[in-house]
Amino acid sequence: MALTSLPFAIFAIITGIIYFVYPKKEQRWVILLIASCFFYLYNSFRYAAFIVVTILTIYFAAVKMDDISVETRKTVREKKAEWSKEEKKAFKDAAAGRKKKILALTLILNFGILFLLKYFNFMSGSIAALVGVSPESAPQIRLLLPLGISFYTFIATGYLIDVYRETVKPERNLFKFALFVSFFPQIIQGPISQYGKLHDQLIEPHDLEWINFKQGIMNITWGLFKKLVIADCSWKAIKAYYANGGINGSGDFAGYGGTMVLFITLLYALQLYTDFSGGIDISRGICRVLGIDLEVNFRQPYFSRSISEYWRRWHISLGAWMKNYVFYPIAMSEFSKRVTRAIASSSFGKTPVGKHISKVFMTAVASFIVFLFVGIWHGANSKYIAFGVWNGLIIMLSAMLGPVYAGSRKALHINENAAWWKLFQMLRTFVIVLVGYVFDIADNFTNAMQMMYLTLTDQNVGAFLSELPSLGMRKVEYLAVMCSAMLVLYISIRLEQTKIDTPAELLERRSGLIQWICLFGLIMLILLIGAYGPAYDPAEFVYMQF
Amino acid sequence: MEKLMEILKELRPDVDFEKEKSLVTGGILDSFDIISLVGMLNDEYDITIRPANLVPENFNSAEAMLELIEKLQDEE
Repeated sequence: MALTSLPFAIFAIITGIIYFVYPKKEQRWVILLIASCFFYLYNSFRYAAFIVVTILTIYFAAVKMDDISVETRKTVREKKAEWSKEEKKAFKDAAAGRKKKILALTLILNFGILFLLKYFNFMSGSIAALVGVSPESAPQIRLLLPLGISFYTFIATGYLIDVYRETVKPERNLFKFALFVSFFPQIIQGPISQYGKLHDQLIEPHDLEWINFKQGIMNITWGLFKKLVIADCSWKAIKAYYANGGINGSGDFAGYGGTMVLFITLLYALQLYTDFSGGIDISRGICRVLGIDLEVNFRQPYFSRSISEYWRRWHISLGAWMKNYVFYPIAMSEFSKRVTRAIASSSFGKTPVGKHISKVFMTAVASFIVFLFVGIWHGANSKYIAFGVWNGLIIMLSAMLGPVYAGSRKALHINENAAWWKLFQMLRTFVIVLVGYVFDIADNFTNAMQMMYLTLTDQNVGAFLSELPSLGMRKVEYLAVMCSAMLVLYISIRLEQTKIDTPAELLERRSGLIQWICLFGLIMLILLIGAYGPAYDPAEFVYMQF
Repeated sequence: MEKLMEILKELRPDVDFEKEKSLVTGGILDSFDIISLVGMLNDEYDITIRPANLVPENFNSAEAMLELIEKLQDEE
């Protein structure tokens, strides 16, 4: 049941109606839980046991950790007069140790499941190849992935770490917690919601409000437009390119030239953004109708002026998760402190360059590790690791070379606020992003290198135009995708200028008539040129199998 | 407060820390700044700031940082 399918629309509408007419308001969250269970079982019945294991283990671990904290505080208070400072500290440390053990075991179990299902085959094949056995004869697990396993594992483990850090109180009602982990609008492709931001909203009852309904519907329509008109049409061309052998690992690209490779890369950038952000718009729109504010996951990422900014604007919730639970713990660890001190106290650390390096070295290493994880999170393939390494290297180098860049900007008298400079930075960042995408598109690492080589050495517009018909798209379809992309670009610029999150809020400033015209205009566009219906095989959301 | 202001000025001379109230949520301080700042505060005030303390509310303004520092000093 894809987010853009008719059955899903019917399911969402029925859920909404029952939610709002259910008379016992304080129990309305139960409707959401039942809907989420139904959605999960309908889509991933055979693998539902995995999400149940995650819900149960994390629920009980969180409650147990909180019990230990509460009990410890109580005992320390009671024994305040009797115990010495050392005794109190020893008691607290013992309790912290028990909490840490529970946390570690639960994390190992849950990430272990994710790792086994997602990466076992890749690892086992790689190890087999390393020891000289053919990868085909290595042991393999033949399983499809449980729906949304990367998302719900991250959502649930993030909650557990928050409870461990005592930044949130645990949910003691198992069913309320189950709703937080399995909430249907976010299970397919995120966002990776933070407990503190979402949970209470799910449990509180909401009434149907006109403004929420209107803006929610507008966001859903905008998401459908991006997904059905732009993403799915572009996907048709990309799929044809694959089918024609454009990326076959042999390095000859079925005769396609470098301009075509560049075109496919650009089309992929458009497709990936509209597919993923369109899906998020639909999820956020549904939540908005229900009166729930789901986290923003995209903020015009292609307008970023550096790669680190790009990762704060693309899949924001994944970046935030990585920052909170991987980056900070590594950068603030005792080990990092020791390394920083060692560099600072060495003779190199006393030089101006050494001073800077000692400050940023471990932070840069931590961000490199984060991007290695981001790469691996995207899939079990060497090309995704290369994708992570590429992004990590750029961020690491820009941190280490920060003063060099600042110095050269000064020497060249570049005004950092000049429009041309900002535009140059955007373009430069976009090119770096595209290089990352090439790793995504290619079959493997070698293939990606060949693609980049071809793009750089074989630009020929004439050849490209003669190759274009082989992608199976009609001229009118190219025109439709192009015009729609222009509309998305225009809206993105307006959102950027106004610092507003959604087109619906942007439209709120216009008259009612214009709002209706825009809504119906979008619906007409979707109906006329969208890729939908039973005859069309819809592209699954790119992030659905994550 | 003066000592803290000095540290902040050393970290980012380009930011007006007296006025700014959304240093983290407004994207003025990035995670690299935060890590440098944490190192400086730990050394200067002899405290241990943990990942759990790195919520935006604790770093959005100089006042919030001072509050966190005082809280951690009490706990030590």
